[in-house]
Amino acid sequence: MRRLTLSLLTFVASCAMVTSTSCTEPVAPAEGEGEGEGEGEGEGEGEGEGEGEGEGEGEEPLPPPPFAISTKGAVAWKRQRALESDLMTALVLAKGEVCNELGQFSCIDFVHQVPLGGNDPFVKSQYEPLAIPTVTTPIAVERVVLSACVARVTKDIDAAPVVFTTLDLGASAVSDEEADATITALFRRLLMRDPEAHELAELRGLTDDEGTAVPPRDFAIASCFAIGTMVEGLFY
Amino acid sequence: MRLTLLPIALVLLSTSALARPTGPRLYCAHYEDTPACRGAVVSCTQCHTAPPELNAYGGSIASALSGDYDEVLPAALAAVEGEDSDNDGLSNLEELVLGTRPGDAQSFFVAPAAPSGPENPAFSVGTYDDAFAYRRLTIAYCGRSPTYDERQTFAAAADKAQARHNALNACLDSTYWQTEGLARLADKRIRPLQAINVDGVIPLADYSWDYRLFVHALSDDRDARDLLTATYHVGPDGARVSGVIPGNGGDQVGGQPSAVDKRAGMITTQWFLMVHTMFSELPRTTAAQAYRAYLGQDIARSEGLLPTDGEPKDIDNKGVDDQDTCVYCHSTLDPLAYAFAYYNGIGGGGGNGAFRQNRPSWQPSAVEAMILDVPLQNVQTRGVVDWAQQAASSPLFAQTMASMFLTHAVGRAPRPDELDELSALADGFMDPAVDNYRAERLLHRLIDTDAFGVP
Repeated sequence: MRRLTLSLLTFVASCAMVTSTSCTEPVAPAEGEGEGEGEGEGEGEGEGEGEGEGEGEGEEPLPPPPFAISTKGAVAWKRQRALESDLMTALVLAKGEVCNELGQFSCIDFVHQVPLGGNDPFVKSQYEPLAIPTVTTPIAVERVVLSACVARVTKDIDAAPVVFTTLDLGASAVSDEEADATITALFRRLLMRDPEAHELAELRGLTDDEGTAVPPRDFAIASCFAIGTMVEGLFY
Repeated sequence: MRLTLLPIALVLLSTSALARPTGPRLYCAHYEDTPACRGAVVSCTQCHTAPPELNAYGGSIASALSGDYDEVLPAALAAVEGEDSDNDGLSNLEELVLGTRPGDAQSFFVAPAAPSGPENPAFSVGTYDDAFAYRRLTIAYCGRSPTYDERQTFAAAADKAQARHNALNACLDSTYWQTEGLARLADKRIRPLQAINVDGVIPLADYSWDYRLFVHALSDDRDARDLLTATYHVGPDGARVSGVIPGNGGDQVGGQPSAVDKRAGMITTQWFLMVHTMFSELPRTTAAQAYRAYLGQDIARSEGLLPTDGEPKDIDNKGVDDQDTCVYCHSTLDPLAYAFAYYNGIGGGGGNGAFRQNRPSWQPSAVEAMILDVPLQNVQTRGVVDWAQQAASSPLFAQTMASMFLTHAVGRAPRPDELDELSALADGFMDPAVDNYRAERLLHRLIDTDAFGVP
């Protein structure tokens, strides 16, 4: 519910930040289910043959939400330093562990600094940061979050786990109980709140891939990435 | 006889130069309470695309003018208030009150409707939301989100307002705010360039002094006017140091060459003078940057134009006295720059940025330094000290500080429906009984505004 609400609140911002599973179009909850969340794709009229998938002819307008939403629609962009700081805190990583290109160039302070909302006044003479996210911002955000998630999972495999304490990272599958505990911990660490029932249900689906159980390592990375790139965590 | 004729000739010259853009002053005398004039000098772009070309609103006014411009302008302004010159659906008067531009069809504002429907389960939409504001202030001033536990603690707090202000106090003391948050607000005011910094390829000055003073003046319970009036510098250890500070290289590079009585905060540091004045005899760029950075008036955008009769004199023979083009800006800019001419840029006796009483080639009596319509006396001995004091005590400075902090806090420029709160922030900033020019006090008021805390 909270994610849905903020997605509506951040209509303009979320339009600029549509990215994979983490930034889905908000949809209203189905009646009787209370809360909803989904990909928001319109129904397509298939024209493909064989295995081809049909192209949609446009999305249906979103139904109005069942509660009051902001008409102000103005949120702020969580820029590179807060993004980095939050990932460091959430995943218990040192500054140099969050994301480095080629293993040595900081994603935050150098390589992706500008699309992440920072500026370099000293060398690039960029005296003000971008006012709004660019088309490459979602890519950079996903790059950083994925890097941080992989770093944490790797450390938790190599030594006593710090974040993924409720997963057996050496096992072959993830139980529902393990998944729920992990998702809950990640929500608290990355979004600073508890997950809601529909969110648990949706993310629990990451434990298998078309009926095949995925290793706990992959589930850990995927759930960390999905939660860490949700719109509500990137705007405030 | 010749001595008698000279004053007459000067008077005639002065009179002939009265064909000046007096519009901004007259406009703001008529509309002093509108956003375009509140704590600002209305930009020429209110009526012009680029002077002297008129936009749609300016065209409407021009068609309503008949007779002496200065006398009939107020009546012409009133006559077109009911029109919608730019056809954006709002009358000219509505736009003036809102603070949008009546000559620009892309500039308009319609206040959002109040939220309607059942209660939002996550946000207090349309009213001040404590949790929303708490998260926002933590990210803005601590450079991080509140943790899960911090959010829980805040949610349980009996006095949310007190909890918010306690959190703000902690953030304002944080390493993030003191070393990065405030510094990023300084970037466009200092305009650093590592290649010519003291440790760069061509060392010319050290902007570290500038960053330290900026952060110092805007933190703790210090007077923000020190940005313009400080007679001291701030050393690497955070302590104030006064007087001439020797540099390590030639031309006193890396030090601070101005004596205490020639110091004026950020606008007389070695870096500021070096990087903006360089080799200019009349440092127009330096004055324009000081005007832009600390009074919010960008002359390049036709803002803050307060022409002086008889200007520009083109005292340095740069050809800026063309009455059809240059006069619109240089009649303000040149008088603004005279006081800066007594400081070196790059090179000169005493080193980069040093004060030199005999630096200009012209006689001091040949020009009159001005700022905000106030003539400055004895600039050849006082430099820009009086310039800075006039600037620091003006509403423009308070408006610039309030706007800088509000824009940073909400991540965008204030909208028309937030301009009253912006003005209240600026007014309180100047009020001895409210902020008394303390930036952190202003921030405590800022986080209580609807602009900040209403989702």
